[in-house]
Amino acid sequence: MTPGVLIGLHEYRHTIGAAVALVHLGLSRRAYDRQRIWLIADDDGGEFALMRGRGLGDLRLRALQLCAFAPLAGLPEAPDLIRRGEVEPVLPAWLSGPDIELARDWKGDPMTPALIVAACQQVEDKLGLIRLMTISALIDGMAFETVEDLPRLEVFLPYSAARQALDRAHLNMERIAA
Amino acid sequence: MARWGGGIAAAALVGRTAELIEQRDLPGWQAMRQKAVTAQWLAEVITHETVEAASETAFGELAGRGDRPEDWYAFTARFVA
Repeated sequence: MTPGVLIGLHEYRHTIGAAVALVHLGLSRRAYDRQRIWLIADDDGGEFALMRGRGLGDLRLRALQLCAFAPLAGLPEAPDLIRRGEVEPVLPAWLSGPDIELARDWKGDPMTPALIVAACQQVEDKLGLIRLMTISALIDGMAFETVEDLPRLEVFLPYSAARQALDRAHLNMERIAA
Repeated sequence: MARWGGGIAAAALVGRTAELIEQRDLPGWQAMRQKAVTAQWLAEVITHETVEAASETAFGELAGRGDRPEDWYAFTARFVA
């Protein structure tokens, strides 16, 4: 069933990354639950995007820049590499060209992408690879005909789980820094 | 697609990932390769039947189950039951 499933995995990692990024950036639970996402994958490629509006404002672009880093969750050392400023050589192995451009546009705290990737790893660890890949296989070939068909972000990661993953990642990073 | 401007795409990434991972001089190469190989293997062994069975659970049923993270994670287990 590859490569569509692997592309589904890549796009699902963006989805998880966007979820934790939006929570980190302070989006309210109510607004989070209203977010619909563009999420497609097949053998030829995939795309992830957050819908404009719906209370996002300028959070949308910042969340997209942060979630561009999210596929790095597949690399256990990624948060450390980001913290040390040594992540550049691995970017082409994990991120697409547009991902890399978006990631480089991030002008906020340089440690935030490390936190987002670490939070994604928390989610992946709790799901386990089999569930992660099954969800990725479900994403492979998903199709939408109308805006109302688009899935809600909370289906792929609810606010509470994104919050929990962020809190755990933050705690781990504080332990490492101490 | 203009409506969704700012989206991110992953065309042709899978092949390039495998190629770069084989260069072996990247930081974290060993862990990277191990996880990528496992994901590749799982992607190959997941059958259409698995996906059809999981589709019957449907993403829609995950909606609104997130008040407690444990409930949501537990419910995702139905995808592989």
